[in-house]
Amino acid sequence: MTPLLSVQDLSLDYGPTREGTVPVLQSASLSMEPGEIVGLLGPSGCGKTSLLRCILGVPAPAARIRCAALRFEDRDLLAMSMSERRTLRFRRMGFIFQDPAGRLSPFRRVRSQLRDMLPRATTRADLLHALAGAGFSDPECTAAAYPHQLSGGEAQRVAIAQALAVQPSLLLADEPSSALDTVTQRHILDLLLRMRALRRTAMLIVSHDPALLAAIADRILSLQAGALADYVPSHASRPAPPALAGHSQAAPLLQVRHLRFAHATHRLWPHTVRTTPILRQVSLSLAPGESLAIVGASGSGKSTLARCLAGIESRYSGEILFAGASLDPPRSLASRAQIQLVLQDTVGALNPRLTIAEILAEPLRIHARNRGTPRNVAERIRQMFAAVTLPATCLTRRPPQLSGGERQRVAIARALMLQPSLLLLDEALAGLDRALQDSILELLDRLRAQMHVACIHFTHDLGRFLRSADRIALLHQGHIVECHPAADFARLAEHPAALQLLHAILPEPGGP
Amino acid sequence: MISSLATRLAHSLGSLLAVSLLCFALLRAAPGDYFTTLRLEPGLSPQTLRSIQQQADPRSPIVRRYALWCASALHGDFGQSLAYHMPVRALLAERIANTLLLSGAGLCGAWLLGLLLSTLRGRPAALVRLFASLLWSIPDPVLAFLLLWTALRLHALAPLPIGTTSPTASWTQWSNFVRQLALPALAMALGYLPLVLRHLQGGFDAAQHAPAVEAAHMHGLPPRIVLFRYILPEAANPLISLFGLGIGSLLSASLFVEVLFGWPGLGQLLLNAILMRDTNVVVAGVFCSALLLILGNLLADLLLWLHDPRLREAAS
Repeated sequence: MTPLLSVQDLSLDYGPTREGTVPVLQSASLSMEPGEIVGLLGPSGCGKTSLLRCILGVPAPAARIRCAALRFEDRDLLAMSMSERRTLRFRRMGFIFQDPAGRLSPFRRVRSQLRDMLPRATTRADLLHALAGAGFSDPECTAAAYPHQLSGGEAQRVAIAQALAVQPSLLLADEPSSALDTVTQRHILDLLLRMRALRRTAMLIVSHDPALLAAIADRILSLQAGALADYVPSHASRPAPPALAGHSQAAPLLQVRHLRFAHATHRLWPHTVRTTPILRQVSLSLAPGESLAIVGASGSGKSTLARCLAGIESRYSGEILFAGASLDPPRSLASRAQIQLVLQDTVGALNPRLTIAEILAEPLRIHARNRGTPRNVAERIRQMFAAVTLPATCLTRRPPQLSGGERQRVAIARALMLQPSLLLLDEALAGLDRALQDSILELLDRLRAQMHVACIHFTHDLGRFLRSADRIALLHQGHIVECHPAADFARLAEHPAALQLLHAILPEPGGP
Repeated sequence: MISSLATRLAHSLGSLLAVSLLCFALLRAAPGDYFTTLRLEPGLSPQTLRSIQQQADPRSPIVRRYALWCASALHGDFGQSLAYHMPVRALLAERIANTLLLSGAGLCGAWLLGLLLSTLRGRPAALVRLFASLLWSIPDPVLAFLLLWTALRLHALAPLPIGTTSPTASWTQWSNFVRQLALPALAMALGYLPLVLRHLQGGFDAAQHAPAVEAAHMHGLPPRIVLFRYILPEAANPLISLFGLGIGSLLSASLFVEVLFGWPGLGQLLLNAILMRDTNVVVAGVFCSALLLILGNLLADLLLWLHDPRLREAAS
């Protein structure tokens, strides 16, 4: 049987840059059968996305490619024209992006963007069916929404609906579920498996999460030093988080009382205002140096809560007390330095025109009047850079030249530059691979022990934070429905949403 | 939205009041009036002069005159023109129609030409950019002179009487009228083109690299769909603002061209009225320009509001 896709000796480097030629892939070879699911594992920045772009036929402009053979559905891709490749990837390949929210046009409704992908004869029912297939309980409502009204997870599900809508024979997925909560992730994995069973869709799934790939893929390849090899699970155990005692008795650092928030959508004629409550009644408190994970499904209001706490969103009602003082808007510069936010979408969070060194120096510059500019800015940047384990060569680059994981570490380093007492991480670890997540969490643990930095993780990954947070709160439809110490969460939780989340945790590959 | 619209309208009314009041006060503050030059006329007897003066009544207090003007302006009556001996409203209506025709044609021409040229890529685009910078560096009157000179050299103007216009029913007259309009409208369009072109080119270039556009490209959507449904909306916001400004300056942008080509529009009338101190005409003309500027901005805001769903939520 001829393979569906075969790649032979693909080499790729990024042409002459300031640091010379950057080799990414070296003689990578890959062969896929129809209906096969292949997982692709590798650390961030190793060229996983570059490989997918080569197969699609849209390499980055600076990329230089050498390839012995590239065949898809028994056709030679290297001999095809640009427009033939375009038609081929439009009709026969699907692609799912890593950062879904920014990849939808903000000006058009979900249904029009989905319709662009579908054949002209598609009916409205087919369209709603495609959305329902991606796990939307109210496809009618989602179809009419604009992308900025969706949460990160919902946007990802729309993207998956888009990619599957054309019924491709090959689906390329770049971190398809890093933005999804574990329940939705399970749902999406089931959906992908069902698609494979129905239509024999082959899938090449890139992820940093071995557990996820083990759950879905027929075989797993790992990309290391530019070449593909079979993945062998390691049995190294994760270090236990250091015990942090003695801070729970202190006066609370942050208190939130009866926080409410609602979105209002206006229609011009006839004039109607529809309010959608996002946060219904949120109360919580946090001790200095404590680590709290606020877990919730996509659309439960996690990001909105993070934005309210960070002071980006000021139209909330209720009270936020920080170190005993009220944080009513507008916030003072000093209080903003104390609370730092790290976002999930690093493309939007870092200014593409600045170098990384400038990005890290910027918070110091902004807050220079209140706190005085430290003499050794360069030294601070270097230290922080080493702490998030980034090579110093990155300092002169700009954000688009870094991989998703590297950008995320820059964003975390930037938030730590001001030595805040509260760090809000909105899915900030979601785009990183396991090893990096561990090292960042270790770094945060160290900072918590040294400087009493408190952390709130807004996350969908309950399994991850059961092991690494002090306390877990479950946010469900705008309410905090459970809040227990992490060690006892599995025992004490009884809300159906909590049970569903606990049930959906994937087992570690190679673990006990 | 309704309340923010109401606030906007209130602000606009305030601006209009302020513009007319300022115009009144400035005309009053400048030395002399319409009758200063009439007094030097040897053929005009002092009695006649006095009777004209009494009719016009320019010496009553400015506050009273302004209040009267406001009251009649609310009814659409802007008073009599001293120099032309006819109602300002009728006078302005004809001239404004002429000016709107000229600068409307110029504006449309500039946008159409700009849209066509901005679809070019590669070396032609660089040439267009150079051409736009050159055009931008030529002052508008010089540009108009150059056009006029070229047209004369090419005898393109030969059969046309310069400086008359009356759009009436007959076909030949119409075609004559269009041919008369062509040259001044071209001068307007060329003056405005570089601005439009730079915004269009910049907007499209930036939009090419927007994440959503890249995504559409990677999904393999047909180029036509990518252009019209992804790139255009992405580039539209600054262009809409520019379009609103263009609408707002329709009445005031064409002064040089009108004077040079002898086009009987509002600009020429206003210039003469200022020189002759024909107060009512000046105030009404300035008032109309200000009104159009405000309407243009309102239109731009409305279009932006319709185009960008995020603005609709931020407006609340």
